[in-house]
Amino acid sequence: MLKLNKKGGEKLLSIWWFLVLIIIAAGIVIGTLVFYSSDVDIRAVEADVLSNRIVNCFIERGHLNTVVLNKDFGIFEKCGLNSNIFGKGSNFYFKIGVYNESKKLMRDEISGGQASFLADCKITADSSNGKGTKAVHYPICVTNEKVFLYYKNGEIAQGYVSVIAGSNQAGKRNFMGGT
Amino acid sequence: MIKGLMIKNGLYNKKGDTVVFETVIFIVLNIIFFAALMFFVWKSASGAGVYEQTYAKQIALMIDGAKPEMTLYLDMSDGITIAQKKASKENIKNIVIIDQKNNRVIVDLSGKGQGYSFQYFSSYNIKIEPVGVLLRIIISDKKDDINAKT
Repeated sequence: MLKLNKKGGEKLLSIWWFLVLIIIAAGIVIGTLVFYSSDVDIRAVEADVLSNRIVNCFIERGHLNTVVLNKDFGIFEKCGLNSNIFGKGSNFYFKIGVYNESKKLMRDEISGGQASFLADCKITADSSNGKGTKAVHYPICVTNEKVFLYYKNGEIAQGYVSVIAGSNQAGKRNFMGGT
Repeated sequence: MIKGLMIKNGLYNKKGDTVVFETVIFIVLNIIFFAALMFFVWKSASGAGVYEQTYAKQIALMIDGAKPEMTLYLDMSDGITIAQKKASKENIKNIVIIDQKNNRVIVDLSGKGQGYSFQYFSSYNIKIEPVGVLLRIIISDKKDDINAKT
């Protein structure tokens, strides 16, 4: 009669145990790599910085900088923005409106950057409100409004600047010295 | 004599020794395995990649939020610690590069010519200098440079 001591069964089970360990290790390694290689999303912060830069360029000490009302006002030169960055395929967008006390435009709207961001930002906003599909790689826009004082016919009047600024920059990891 | 009686009665078969030995080996191997996994996770968290991205974005935001004639300082002690382990002494001076032509901040802590780059939208002139563990960022108007040259 063969003596059955169940030692073979335990040795077979250890193979399955190693398989389980390998699966657990693979899960932890993959999860860690995915987590720490993901980008930190600062698009909203960047858009906010851009809108503040523009607003501070238009309004100085609570008063409207009257240079901005000139037809030949160069926003890139006056506000310290690099025009090449706001060209074709840009990761940024801005639209500026200067309004008087009657909410009428005091000059033509100024815009720059990727024009499609205006519509794309509405999709992002709807997505974050739970409407429509989830928009992960769409730009994020912020709206900034600031009141200013100006002289109209010798009297002080109040208007406001409305700036919509958007960013869709994700940053880039360089490999082998390339940019 | 007692041992002989135990062997005769089938009570002495050393199974107790082997079970304990196998269990101890099993537990030790498991501890080594999970310790190695935790070490890997800790290494990933304190690696250069995370700091490169953080510094590049911080510096770009600081530049974009600044005005001409401003001087900014950024504490890069953590990044320098990593760079000292990975990069050569010459490369430590170049862990942060401002590419003014393409408006990019490039942070490379490994010294292998890789790193992380992030764009800024300012048109100002940017000059950076390491000051101990701090990075000094000097912002100046490009017109000042033109005037200085003439």
